[in-house]
Amino acid sequence: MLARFIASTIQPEGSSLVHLRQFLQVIETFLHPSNNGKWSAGLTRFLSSFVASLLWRIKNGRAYAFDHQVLL
Amino acid sequence: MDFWNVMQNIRNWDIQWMALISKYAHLPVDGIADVAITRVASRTIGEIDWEPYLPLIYSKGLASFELPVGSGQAPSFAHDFDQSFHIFMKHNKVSLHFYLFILFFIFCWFFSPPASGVPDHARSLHCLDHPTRGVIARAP
Repeated sequence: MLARFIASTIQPEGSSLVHLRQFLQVIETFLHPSNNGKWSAGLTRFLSSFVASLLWRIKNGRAYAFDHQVLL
Repeated sequence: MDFWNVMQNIRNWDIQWMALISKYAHLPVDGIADVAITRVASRTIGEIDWEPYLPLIYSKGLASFELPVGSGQAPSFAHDFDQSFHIFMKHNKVSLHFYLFILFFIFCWFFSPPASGVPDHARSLHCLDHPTRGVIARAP
């Protein structure tokens, strides 16, 4: 749910990418194999859904203002 | 949004808030409550300005993973719900209408298929106790 929401609200302008960057920075350490815990499955599912949602959005063709360079 | 912001983070409770926001924002919501705001966002790309809601939704989303940051072990859902509801009631004058709304959304959540993931059904049913008593107490 969150993954699809984030993918849907990404815009070249605005603060969505800033929030996303901060979000990913926070969860990054919890994705390390040595930092395994009850959160691992949820985070893995989130990342998997997020990648799928990004692909969905690009494929959907509705991201007319979606500049790939902004993400990279 | 202010009410939601002052409440403790509980994943299942946050879902109800997101559904409420979708409803009150008069957004074209369909489907079950827990995916309402996502459906709205994904079907109206570029049409709705989510900017004011992003900080809160991101922070609530992050909290839903129950990462061990700061407070250590997260308490159970039922305990969280009870505590948050009491705090919310303490700080806000709540009408019968609002109680009924809360009850409605909790019932929606319990009787939808994703609710089967609730680890302790008896304790979760306990969550219904406070709003129900609120409705009874405020009923004319």
